[in-house]
Amino acid sequence: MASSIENNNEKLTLKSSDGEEFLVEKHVALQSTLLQNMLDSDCSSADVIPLPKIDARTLALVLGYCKKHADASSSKQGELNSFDSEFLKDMDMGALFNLVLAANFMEIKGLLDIAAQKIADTIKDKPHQEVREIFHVENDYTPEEEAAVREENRWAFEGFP
Amino acid sequence: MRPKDHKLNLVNSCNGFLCLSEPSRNDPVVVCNPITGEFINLPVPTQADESTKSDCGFGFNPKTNQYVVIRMFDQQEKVCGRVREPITGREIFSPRVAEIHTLGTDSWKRIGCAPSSTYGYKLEFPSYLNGALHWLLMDYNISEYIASFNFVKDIFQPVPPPPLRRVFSWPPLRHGMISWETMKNMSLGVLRDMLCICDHNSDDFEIDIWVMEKYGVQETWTRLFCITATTEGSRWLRGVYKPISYLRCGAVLFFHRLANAVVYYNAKKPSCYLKFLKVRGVKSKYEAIAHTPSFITLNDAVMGDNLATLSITSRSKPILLMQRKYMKRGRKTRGFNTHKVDKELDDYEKQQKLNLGPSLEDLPRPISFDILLRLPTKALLICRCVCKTWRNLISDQEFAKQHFSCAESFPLIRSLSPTHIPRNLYLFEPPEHSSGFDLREHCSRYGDAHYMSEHHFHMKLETKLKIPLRNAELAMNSEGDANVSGSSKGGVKRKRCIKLKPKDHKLNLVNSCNGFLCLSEPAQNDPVVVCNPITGEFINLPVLTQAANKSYPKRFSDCGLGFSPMTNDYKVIRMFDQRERVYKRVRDPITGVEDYSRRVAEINTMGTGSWKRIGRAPSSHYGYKLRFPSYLNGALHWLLIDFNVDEPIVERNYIVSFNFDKERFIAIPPPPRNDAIISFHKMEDISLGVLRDWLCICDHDDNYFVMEIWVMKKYHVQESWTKLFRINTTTTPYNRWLSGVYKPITYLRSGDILFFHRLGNAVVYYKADERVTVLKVCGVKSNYEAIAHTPSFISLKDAVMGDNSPVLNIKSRCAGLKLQGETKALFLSEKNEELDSYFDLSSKS
Repeated sequence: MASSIENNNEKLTLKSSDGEEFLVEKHVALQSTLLQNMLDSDCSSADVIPLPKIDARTLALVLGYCKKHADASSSKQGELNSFDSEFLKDMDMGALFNLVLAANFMEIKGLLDIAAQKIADTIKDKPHQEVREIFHVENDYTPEEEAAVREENRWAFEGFP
Repeated sequence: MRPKDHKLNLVNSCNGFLCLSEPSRNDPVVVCNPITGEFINLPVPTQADESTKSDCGFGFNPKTNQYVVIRMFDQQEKVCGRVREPITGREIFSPRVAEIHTLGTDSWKRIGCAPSSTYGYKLEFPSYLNGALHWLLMDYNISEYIASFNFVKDIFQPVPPPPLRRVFSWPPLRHGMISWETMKNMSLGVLRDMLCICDHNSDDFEIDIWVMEKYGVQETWTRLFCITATTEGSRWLRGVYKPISYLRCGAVLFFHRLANAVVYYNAKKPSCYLKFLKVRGVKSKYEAIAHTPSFITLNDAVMGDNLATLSITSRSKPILLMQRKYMKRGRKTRGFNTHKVDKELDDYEKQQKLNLGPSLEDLPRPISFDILLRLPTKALLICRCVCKTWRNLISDQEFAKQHFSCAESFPLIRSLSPTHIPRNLYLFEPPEHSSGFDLREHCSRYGDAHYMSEHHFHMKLETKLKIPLRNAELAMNSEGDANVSGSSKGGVKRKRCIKLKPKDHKLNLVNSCNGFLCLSEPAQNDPVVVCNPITGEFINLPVLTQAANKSYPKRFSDCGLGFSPMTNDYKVIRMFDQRERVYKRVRDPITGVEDYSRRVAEINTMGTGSWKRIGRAPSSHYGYKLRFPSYLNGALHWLLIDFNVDEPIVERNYIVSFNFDKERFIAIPPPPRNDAIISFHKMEDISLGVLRDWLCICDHDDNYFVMEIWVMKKYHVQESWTKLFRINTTTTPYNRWLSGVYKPITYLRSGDILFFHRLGNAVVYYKADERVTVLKVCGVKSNYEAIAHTPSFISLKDAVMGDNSPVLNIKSRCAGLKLQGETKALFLSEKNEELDSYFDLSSKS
């Protein structure tokens, strides 16, 4: 980490799928294992690094997260935790899914972790109908099939309408 | 009723009236107002060529104030000369002619040649506007693709088309012509009194919505909206978007036939993208047309004496039936009242329910697994119900393996009621994330947990798993009796609780290994069933080679389930007193004592149909059972209470293990102790278990008010025994200390340790270096037991190989039966009063 702080003013450009370019400090970009590997190998930092799978809105979020974590890596964990929960608060499912995909692609474990947990928390304690609505899943069970699956673990649905 | 005889097709809507046709020939037969329920049967049309379908539609002549139905069909008479096709002007041998019928008269009037597609396509999207009915004429390379019939002049006319944008087309088209591809995705409609062409360029993900601002004037074609894929984040659906309505609020509604969805687009809203509101309810496809609801009666609208306006509501029952059937068939009209929908649309906005947004299936499998793996057992079981894809994802062997590898073990609690057959096992899953098992947080998070003013924890045990009954057939028979006498009120069958004798049906809980449970019959404690309570599967173990010797003193068998990592086999061990007399001294494999004990061990490798004798089994001189069967590391472990008070403790092996790889009993070196001699009472207060991957000894000394938790960090290495915690019970605030055995259950990721206290019927949780909380199990008036269990979705079918043991499922058998006492819920409660009874009892005894 010490070396990256020395190179603090070194910057690189990331390009989102919709063509927007982001100028990031190198130590922020290093939060991403993908970018780290790219920088470690031949890729010159002068080049624009295209991220064809990530749109500008998501990339902005991702970089916001990276910046906070890169800058605060030595500071308190508690502060970061509260940032994390605040970061995902009120985020809609579409954005969360994009974030998970981006974190997966850019290999940012911490972000992948909190976003996946957030999605899991959304599913938890909800009846299946609500889960369907949140995830826009089409119910392909016939009513009989659904009743059968439901019946297998009737207790799980107790307390739900 | 047969759809063939009774179904009617929806053709078009004009001024609040609908034109309906019979489906086989598409000839118009009825005009109705679905709001008032009136309808008019149209006169029988002229004979037509039976091999082709008609086109039809319904419109209004503003000059004469008359409603007119038009029908285009292939005439039966031979066409002897070229006729001029009225739209394209081509001279062709077309048999297609048109007839009109003015409502209120009783006849059809022939008006000559009708437009038709060279390729036999029907006229699409009949749309009434401004005294004329409009269609899309599906044909190759024509520029006059919008056909219309003017009801005032009774003539067909082409409508000048909009200047469609086409960046590229190959082969190049003549000016004004459009390609087949364009044609295919195009649709026609009316938006706010303007003819509308909806041009969907699916290659560029663009929808252009053109409206003709001044009717009939080509120059007034204006592009109202251009919806592009980049304006939104949701998925793009190919296919035809049929324009339905342009609401006052500025939103446009389409119907997407292939997706069976109403598509909502509002350019004014900041998030202006397409929202798909799926039509649901009946498993079928749907159609939709634009319709302005009207309370104008057909009687007022249609003049003439030859008219019989019938009413759906006043007619006989069969008609009503038909109507219902018709709805059931899924031909649903979605009427959009422009007056009312504005308000409703905000609800649509809020709902966004049916928006085809993100889906778990879109994520790469490792990520969707990652998300699902974070769910507690209950949520996973609920998610199986979401859809087939999710169910398959969760039932996937790979998922089950991953799930198990990161699953924690939890207390599996069961009532010990002697009069009931407790089939329900309650899994207590403490909330996992954040600060671990924080009761305060838990109380506030769960709706049904009462966070009482005294800060007492009270929680319903929701995760209820079932184990099988011992004699399913017997139980089924009793169910038959119960059903006969059970009453069925109003068609709802109420299942009566059936009463079964615990003696016949009860199974004891022995131990848990890799998510599977070993169950024994209670009379002799012989192993009979292995089950996975999550999947509901179970395997009946093969018949025992011989019953245990019943002569005095009667001793229970010892048993347990284990796994052999080397051969990948699950094995059940049974230790019992054989019938044959023993004439030679045999050496006890653990204590080394030579005597005439009849105790022998047999194992069954699951999947095989037999038991294999493996020789002398360890046993207590005093007839004690092997306690706390605990599986770890390819071996099952027990505590052996076989005291010899004078013997130095260091030489004594009180931890017995059976290694399933070697099929051999091995003594495990116990943790070091300060006191050299272990008393009998001491022995009774020690418990054995597995915390994380360590064998654990929990040593509770009532006299010194301490409890020590030892773990063996390196398996079978005596020096690796480490004291994990030492709980000083005198300094434990807040709660009274229970004497007796604390059975270690689990050491959670959060750092908390859970115990089960058998005498107190309580789950005891210890937060490292903090307080101890006693959570009393309550709900049924009985004692309780608990074992550590790691929930697993791994199927017994995948785990056990071999043909000799069919995998049965409780869910397909007796799960539906309700047994006495099974309906009651169990709770974990911190309430001190609950424990008072125990303290009273213990002080008396």
